[in-house]
Amino acid sequence: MKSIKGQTLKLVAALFVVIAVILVAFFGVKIFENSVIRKQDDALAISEENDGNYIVYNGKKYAKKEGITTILLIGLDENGEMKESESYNNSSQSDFLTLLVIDDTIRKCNIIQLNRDTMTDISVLGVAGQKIGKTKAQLALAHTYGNGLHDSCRNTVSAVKNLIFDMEIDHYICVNMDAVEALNDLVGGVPVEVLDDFGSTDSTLIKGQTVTLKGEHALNYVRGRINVGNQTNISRMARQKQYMASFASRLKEAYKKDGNFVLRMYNAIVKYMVSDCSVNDFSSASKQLSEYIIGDIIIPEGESVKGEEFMEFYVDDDALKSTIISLYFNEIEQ
Amino acid sequence: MKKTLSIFLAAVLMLSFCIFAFAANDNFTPSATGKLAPEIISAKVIGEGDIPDSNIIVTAYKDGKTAEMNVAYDEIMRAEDLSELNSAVPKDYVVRDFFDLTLTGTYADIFARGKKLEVVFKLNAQNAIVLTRCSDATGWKQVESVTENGDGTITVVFASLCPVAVLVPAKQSHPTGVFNTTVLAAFAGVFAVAAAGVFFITKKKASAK
Repeated sequence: MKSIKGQTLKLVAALFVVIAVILVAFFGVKIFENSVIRKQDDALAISEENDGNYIVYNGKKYAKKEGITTILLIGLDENGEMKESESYNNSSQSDFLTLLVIDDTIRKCNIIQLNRDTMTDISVLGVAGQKIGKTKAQLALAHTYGNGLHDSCRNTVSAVKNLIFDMEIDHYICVNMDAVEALNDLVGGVPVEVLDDFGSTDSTLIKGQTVTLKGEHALNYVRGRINVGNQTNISRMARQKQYMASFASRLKEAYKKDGNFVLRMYNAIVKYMVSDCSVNDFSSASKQLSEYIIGDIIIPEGESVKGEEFMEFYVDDDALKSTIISLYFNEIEQ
Repeated sequence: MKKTLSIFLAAVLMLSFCIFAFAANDNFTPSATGKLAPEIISAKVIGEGDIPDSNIIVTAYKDGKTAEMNVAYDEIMRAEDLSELNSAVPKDYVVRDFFDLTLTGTYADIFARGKKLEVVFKLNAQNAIVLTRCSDATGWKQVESVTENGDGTITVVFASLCPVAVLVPAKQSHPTGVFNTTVLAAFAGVFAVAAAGVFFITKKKASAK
C-alpha cells in the first residue's frame, strides 16, 4: 500500500514538472520569436565580404538583377484632399501596402501585398522630424510619424525597405480612399466574384455573386472588415488581392483604348495623392504595367496573433527572403 | 488522496488549456491605430487618490493649438540645441513628444492647494527628460521627477500643468516589452499550481514518514 502510494506521488510530481517544462518551453520560444529584431547580417545588400559582386544563400551564389524598379503603393484609410497634419505626427495609418517590382529584363511586374499588421522595426520621428530611434510595431503605424505627407511616406518606405532586406524602393505613391473610388470608376468599374458575406454593411455585395464594383461599393469591398466575413485582415487582403488583379486587367484595357488615359488618371487622383513620381514617371510605369506580364500577387507567409490590444502579423522571414531573392537576384552558375 | 490529486491535475490541465486559449483569435480584434499623444495609464493626486479618466485630458499638439502651445512649439523648433530651453538638457537630446495636459472638475485646483500630480504614461522612453513651459516668465522647467518603470511606461510627477515636452537622447533604441501581461499571468498561474503541487506532495511524503 505504502509503496503504491509512494509511486503515485512520484508519478504526480513528475507530471507536474513535465507540464511546467513544456509550457515554459512553448512560451519561451514564442517570446524569443517575438523579441528578436532582425540582425544586420540578414540584409541582402551586396557587401564587400562577398567580393562586392554576389550574395550567398543556401550555398548558392546570386547576383543582383539589373533593370528592376520598385514602387511602393500606400493606401490610407481617410478621405478628402491630402493635407499636412500641421503637427509632427498624424492619425493616418497605411491600411494598404503593396510593392510593384517591375522587371524590365523579362518584362514582368511582380506584386507583393504586405499585411498592414506586420510587426517590424519602424523609425520613430521626433517633433522636429528627425529619426530618434526605432520601435517594433505594426507596419501601418510607420505613416503616423511625420506630418502626413512626404515625411510620413518616406518613413513608411524606410520601414518596408527594412522588411524586404534592404532592397531599394525607387518611388512611393500614397493615395487615400477617394482615389480608390475615382480610379475604380475611371476604368468603368471592376468585376469581382464576392468572396465574403457583407450583410448589412453593403447589401449589394452578396457572397458568390459576380458584380461590377462601382463608387462606394468598390470602397466597401476592399475596405470592409467589421461585420464582414470572418472580420480578419487576412480575409480583407484576399479581397484586395482579387480586386487588384481585376483592376489591373481593366487598367490595361483602358490604357490601350485611350492614349490620354494616364493623364486623365493622374488628374483624377492628384489631390488625393502624395507621391515622389512625376507625371513622366507615372506615364512610364503605366506603359510598363499595360505591356508587361502581371505576375500572381504574392502575399508573404506568416502568422497572425492577437497582441495585447491589436492584431500582430509575424512574417515568415525565410519564406520572404526566398521570395525577395527570386525577384531581385539571379543565380550565378558555379 | 486520489480525489485531491485528481482535482490538482484537472486544475493544471485546465490552466494549460486556458493559456493556449489566450493566444486564440476572437471574432474581431482591432488593428493598431496611431496615437498622437502618449496614452495615460493612470493618474493620481499624491496623498489623495486616483483621478478618473474623464478628469485628465491629454491634448495632442495637432488637436489643441492654444497660444501657449504655439509659443512653446515655436521655441522647440527654433532651438539649435535644446539646452537653450533648459540648461539641464544634455547635448544630442531631441523632443520625442509634445502635448498639453489638463485637469478638469474638482481636480482643476490641486496645484493651488499645494498638491502634486502623478501620471503614468504609456511611453517606452529611456533616459527621458520632461519639461513644461508655463509662461514667458518661467520658461521651460523640469518636472518634479521622471521614473522609468521598465515595462514600457514612465511615471511623471508634476507640480504644475502646462504644455509638456518629452525629451530623449537622439538615436535611442526602443525595445518593446517582450513579456506582455497575458504571458506573465499565464506563467504565474502555471508555476503557482506546480509549486502548490510540489509542496502538497512533499508535505504528504513527510507526514507519511
